Amino acid sequence: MNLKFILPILFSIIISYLVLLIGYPFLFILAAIILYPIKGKTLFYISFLIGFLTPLSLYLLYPLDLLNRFLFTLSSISNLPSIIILLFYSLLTSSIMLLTSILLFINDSIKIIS
Amino acid sequence: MKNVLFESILIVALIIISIFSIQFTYLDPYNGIFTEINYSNYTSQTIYLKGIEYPVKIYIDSNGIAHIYAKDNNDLFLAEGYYMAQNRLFQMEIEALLASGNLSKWIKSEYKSDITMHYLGLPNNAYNLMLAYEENEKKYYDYLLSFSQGVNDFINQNQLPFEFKILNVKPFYWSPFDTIVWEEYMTLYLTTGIYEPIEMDLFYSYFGYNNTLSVWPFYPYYTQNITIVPGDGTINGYNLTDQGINITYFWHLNWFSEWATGIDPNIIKNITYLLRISYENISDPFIEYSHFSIGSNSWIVTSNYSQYGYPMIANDPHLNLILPSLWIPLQLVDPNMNVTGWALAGIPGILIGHTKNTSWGITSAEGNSANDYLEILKGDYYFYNNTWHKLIEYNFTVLNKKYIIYYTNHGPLIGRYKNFGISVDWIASKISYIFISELKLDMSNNYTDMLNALKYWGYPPQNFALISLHHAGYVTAGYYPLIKEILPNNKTVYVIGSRSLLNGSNPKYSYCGYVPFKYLPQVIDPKRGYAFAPNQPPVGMNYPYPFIGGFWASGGRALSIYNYLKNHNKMNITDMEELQSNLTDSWAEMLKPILIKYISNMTMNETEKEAFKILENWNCSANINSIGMTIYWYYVSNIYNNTFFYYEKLYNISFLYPPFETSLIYLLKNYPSSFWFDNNSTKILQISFKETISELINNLGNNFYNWYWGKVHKLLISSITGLLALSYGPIPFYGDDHTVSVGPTEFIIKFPLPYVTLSSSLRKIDIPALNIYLGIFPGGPSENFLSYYYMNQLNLWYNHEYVNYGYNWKKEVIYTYEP
Repeated sequence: MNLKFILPILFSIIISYLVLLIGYPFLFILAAIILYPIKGKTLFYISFLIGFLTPLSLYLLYPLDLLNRFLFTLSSISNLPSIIILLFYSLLTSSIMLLTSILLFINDSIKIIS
Repeated sequence: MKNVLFESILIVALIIISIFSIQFTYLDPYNGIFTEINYSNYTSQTIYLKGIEYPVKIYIDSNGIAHIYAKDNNDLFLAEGYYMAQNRLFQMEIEALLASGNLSKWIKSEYKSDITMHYLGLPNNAYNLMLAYEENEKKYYDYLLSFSQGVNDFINQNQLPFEFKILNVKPFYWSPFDTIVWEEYMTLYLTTGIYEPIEMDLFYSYFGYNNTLSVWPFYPYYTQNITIVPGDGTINGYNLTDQGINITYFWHLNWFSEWATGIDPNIIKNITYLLRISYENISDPFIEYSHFSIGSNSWIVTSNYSQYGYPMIANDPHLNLILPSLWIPLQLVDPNMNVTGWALAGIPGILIGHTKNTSWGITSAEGNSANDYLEILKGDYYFYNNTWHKLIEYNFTVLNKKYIIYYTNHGPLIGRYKNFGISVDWIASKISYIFISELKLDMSNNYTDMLNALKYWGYPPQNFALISLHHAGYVTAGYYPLIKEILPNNKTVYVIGSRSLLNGSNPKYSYCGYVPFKYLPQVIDPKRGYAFAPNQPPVGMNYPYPFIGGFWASGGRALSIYNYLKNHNKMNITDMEELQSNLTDSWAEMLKPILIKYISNMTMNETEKEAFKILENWNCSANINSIGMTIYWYYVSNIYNNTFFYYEKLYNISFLYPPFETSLIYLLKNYPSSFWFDNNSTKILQISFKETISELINNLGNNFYNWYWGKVHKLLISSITGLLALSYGPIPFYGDDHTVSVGPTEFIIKFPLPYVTLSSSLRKIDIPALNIYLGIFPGGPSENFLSYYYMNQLNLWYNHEYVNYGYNWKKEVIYTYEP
């Protein structure tokens, strides 16, 4: 791995966490744009993984019993399994990153999203 | 071209997902879940508040009780408002919306309760009362404003509680109106006289006078002499006899007669449809259909009867249990007051509590503070005092749909059919400054202060148990409207309420004043050493203002408390606790021997014989492990099914509250061939027993050990959101309708029985002279379901344990509110 790969990934992860602090998930688009130097299918995998794992990793910071209770509550409201609730937000953010990276890949240019 | 199309689709998809994702920020691990978990912890912090003049300190103790210290009343109430909002904003707002008939706004579909609230005039009453405070009681209005400011400071400064995010609604700014309208709702919850005359008229219409009276007597059977105020009903030297009225004559009069109501009883029989629709219109799905089931316990012990030589008090008001609780535990301290106890979320001050020298408790008084009137209508006019008057229109909207309610001089028309209508005259439509009363109690230093505070108490009439360092007593405070009646013997008497609708066209039946404070039921330091008020009649039959509209509890709890206190001279704190957790059903003690007698000679199979033995040996205690209790309950349910319920179903009036067991006991003892038993009580009781055992076997099996009370009798404390995940239970529960530690359910053949949802909403035992203050309530201060303080006192409450509500508490967390 050279710096051309590592730096975008690192910045993308940092931006992802910052976006989580701000609370506007559509800003994950920025975290995907940073990954632009990475080409091809690797870009898709990496952007999806960053979008998926960043929110998921934050869940691990909380006491498991409270997290469980929270998920159980939402699960009973929505009639969906707790695991789906847990993964839902991560899937949203990963989808945003993946779609952005596909757009970048197709056009090979950042213009398309400006 | 293909690429452009694909890109466009991707861009559209990205935009949609991005917008969609904003709706789910509560799932965001940081701003959603983390915030909720963070809010769930109480951590010491400094908060800057608009409007306070000096810093306010709030100490949260190890039991979750907040101790608020301020330099003046305005700062104190502002801080109380902020603290309440911090812990209960969602609850407060949903309750205010419910009471003001605006809940549909949040639910986003039309909710019947909203229309009911307007039918009964709650928003209108609250608005008028708010204006009255502003105009006449500026100081107290300012306190209400300070409280509102505190709530609004929280709304402006903080992230919203989770429930708002889920419902996708924004909080509205709090105002004194919201506090007052919630007081009105609680008043409705505890008012007698709106629903009951309609219920009695339906009974009367279908079953006639004698059958109605046999199950709904004026004074409950077997407890006529254990009133709150000991004695015959004489108050401050004044009674019925002094007015030249013979008590026996008086209480044997037919109060459904035309001379009493101004209405020919045959007309009542012809308006059952109007009675039904009126009842339906004012039946709020948030409140139990009938109000008979609401009750509470309290008792006081005088210095002479106490082991310590000082007065003692116990109180446990019964209300529907929800999570978070209606109550929030607090201590409020400033140079004018130092009060600890429970406030109703959304209402400043402390409603049930104690100061260093006084303590008080509340139970519902059950005597009519409202009346229903039969109105004669023609188009937009009603007939009153020989003249046609125009009905007053009141317009309101629920989700943009317009409604009109018409008012007569008595109050809102709750039902109309052809040329008749039913209106309600309810004292909550009059001006009464109960907030002032509450604050004066909070600032009381002695017994006289408490009495003076209660002079402001208008509604709902409540039995106030009061103790100071050396005195103990009761006052049934509130506005009891009077109706001037001319008896068949031409004597005049002022009575409270009615059994039936009254003639709305005749001014004779309109209110003509209230019972003067001096003659309200009251007693101080009763000679026998104790008094108690679990919703039985407050006074004897010689009371100068007879309660014609008195719809009391059955008296089962009163009898248990009376029996206990009578036999425990020199009461101590352990006795007080033991009595508060008492599980004896006094009516079962009376009814069981009668049932045993009826079935002892019948032919039984082996299982029936065994069940009979268990029932015979049962000690009439409703504890969780009792098998006898289960057999008894289903047996009585079957008897009800074959008697009272049979007829109620026949006439499609099953929504009415069933007669008490005392009526069953009375009829079995005195009229075994009564209409209710189809002239053969033996047959009914024997069949009912066989049915009971067969149903128990079918549903619980042959093993008697599976028939324990907790198996079928369970407690469910629902979350205010209605979500089972945030609720407590269902878990096995003790008690029944008539035990002091109450656990009411229904006489119904269901396995399990309908969940217990109403019980002691708090329990307290105080001895101010010894600095002993015990309390507990089923919940915690916080509405955040992730917080330890969501239900930190609940398990202790379940086990009949107490925590310290006194002055020796341990600081856990400190909030500082800075200007």
